[in-house]
Amino acid sequence: MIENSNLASIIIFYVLAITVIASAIGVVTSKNVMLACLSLLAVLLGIAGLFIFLAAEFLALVQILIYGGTVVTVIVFAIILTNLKDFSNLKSTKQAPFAILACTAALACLIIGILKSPALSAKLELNYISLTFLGRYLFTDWAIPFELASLVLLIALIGAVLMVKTSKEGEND
Amino acid sequence: MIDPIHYQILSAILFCIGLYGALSRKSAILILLSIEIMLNAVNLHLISLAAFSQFSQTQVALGQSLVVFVITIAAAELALGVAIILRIYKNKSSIDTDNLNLLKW
Repeated sequence: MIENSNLASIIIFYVLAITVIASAIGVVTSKNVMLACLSLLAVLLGIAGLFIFLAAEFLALVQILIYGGTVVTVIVFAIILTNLKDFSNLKSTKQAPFAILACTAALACLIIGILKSPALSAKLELNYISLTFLGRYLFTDWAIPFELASLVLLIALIGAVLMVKTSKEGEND
Repeated sequence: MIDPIHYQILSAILFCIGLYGALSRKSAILILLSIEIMLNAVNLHLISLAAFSQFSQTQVALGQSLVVFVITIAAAELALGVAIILRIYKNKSSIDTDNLNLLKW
């Protein structure tokens, strides 16, 4: 019984991981902009599934609401408004070899760092916390940073609206 | 149970895919998409470290609330980024980053 659930969790993890990696490669290599945007949606939903797998249901919900709902919609509107389909060559041929070099080097450094860090593989049980505990923690210990973050979000959204607003007297705002 | 190291290697791979996209794409919107992938890789790493930590419940909540802040700032960054891209498109009628060499000498 325990071995069955273990096997099931391994299969679910690998399905999610392969989906996420394949969609991420689709985002960075696709010639079609809409296809890249929809692959990004697949990446975000796959990561939400991994969050549920890591016992962080609240963050999975936030991920689906904010990324799956808002971010993808905003990007689709940006693609529509900038009329991106007349882009013939989406990839910079000058920078691509250096980009491959840089990201391979970064991947090697990260994997060496992960394999050498001692404290990670010591314990294999998941830690569960309740949503009540997380909410109480956010609104007691981190109340001021939380309010500051909401203020930053408000200012950024008002700034974004002001930046794209067209004034009635022509181009000089 | 899945070893925590799997999650960390997965997030490292995702981060490097996002880095490749951010460095090699020409269109500014696709660079923003790649930055979103990188932010999500960091979120996954934080959650997996929190979920498998040997510390108290408070430390797990600390990891998860850090991810809440990252998501908030990412939403603000995306809104401002899209606004800047639309402004550039209005002024130069193109969002090809190769054309944005005004500050280059």
